[in-house]
Amino acid sequence: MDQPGERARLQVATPIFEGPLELLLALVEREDLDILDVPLASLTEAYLAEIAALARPDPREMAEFLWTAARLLLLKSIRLLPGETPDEEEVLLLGWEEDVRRRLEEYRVYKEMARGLMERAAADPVAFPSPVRTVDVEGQEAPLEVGLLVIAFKDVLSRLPPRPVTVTGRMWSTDEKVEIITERLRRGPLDLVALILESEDRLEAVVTFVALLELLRRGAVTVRQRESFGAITVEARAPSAETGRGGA
Amino acid sequence: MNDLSRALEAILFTSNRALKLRELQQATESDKQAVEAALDQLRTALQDRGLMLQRQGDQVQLVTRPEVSSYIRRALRPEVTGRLSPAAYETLAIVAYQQPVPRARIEEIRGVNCESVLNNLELRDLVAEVGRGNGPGQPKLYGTTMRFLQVLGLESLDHLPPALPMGGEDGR
Repeated sequence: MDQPGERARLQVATPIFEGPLELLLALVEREDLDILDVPLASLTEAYLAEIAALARPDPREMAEFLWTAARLLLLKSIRLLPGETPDEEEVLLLGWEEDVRRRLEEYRVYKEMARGLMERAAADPVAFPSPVRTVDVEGQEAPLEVGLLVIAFKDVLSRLPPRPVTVTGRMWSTDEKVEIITERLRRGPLDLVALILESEDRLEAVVTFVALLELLRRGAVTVRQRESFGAITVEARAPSAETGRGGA
Repeated sequence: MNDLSRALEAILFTSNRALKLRELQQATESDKQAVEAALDQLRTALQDRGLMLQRQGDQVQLVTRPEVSSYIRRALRPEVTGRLSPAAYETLAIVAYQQPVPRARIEEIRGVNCESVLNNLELRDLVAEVGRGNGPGQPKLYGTTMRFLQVLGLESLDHLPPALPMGGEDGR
């Protein structure tokens, strides 16, 4: 049960390598080699042994390991047959080695910084914010000022992509949007941010917003915020009566 | 502290989430410069207190100092969130030091698909979309959140441990 050989194998098999890069890095570090100098070909043996031991159910992930293995083998064969001028494919491969080494170094640095964050978090340095206080719904549900709406709108607007230069999008009129919003409000209240974010570009967002302001002006909708700085909801106002009177 | 600083302290104390500068300006009817100056005053005044002012971009929040977290744990027993995997920390480190960063760049560094790790971090509100890239398809750009600062007890991103240099063999 406790044979040294078996234990050693277990230890090697324990870390779950997420990708070939991580495995290579682990090998470089295990051999205590310098990433910037190590010929990757020298790791071929160890790499092949590791992937033979991997239990990878996902063939796509396994393919990445094998792809790297194939390149390592090819690299090694080039190294074993020196003297010949490398052909085009081999030059590419040597470039790949350089690239992998650079990426290994970058990955190593981030792994180390990740360890730094992990250690920091382990020391439990949490800075607690004030707890979420439930606000009295009655008190907070007063209709919103337009000023606050405009702030919310600007905020959402920055999250929409600008209109692409080449593609001409659909043009909307305020009336069309008023109709669409009114129609949808019959089915229930809408979330303001979500409604604006449906826009394909900023122009459409502006038209939607202007349509909303128009509906507010007509008194056809109310805008509410259940909790300060919380979600803003748009609802139809006295649905049947208001829409019947409409036609401003 | 001047009146504005006191008012901001009170607003931040009663708020249940981080507030934008613009919201503070609106609430106090002050301009940006005045609010910034008052926040600086507040930050200094809080130096030897149990609270600190956390800042992420244009958002500020009053939070407890990381040094006192163990007392809060004992007094209030707040919920402990699940631990993150090493893969999640790697991704988090890349986002923290490279933000705003697209997923493709994170995957380039880690050499593996990072979609699910990123989704998980987003779900835990440690990273969030902070914008869109200019490249083809306008890829989502990720950045860290206020909650990230809270979990690590940082006043702002300027307080992150300095990034390690690349290519330094002596770094090991």
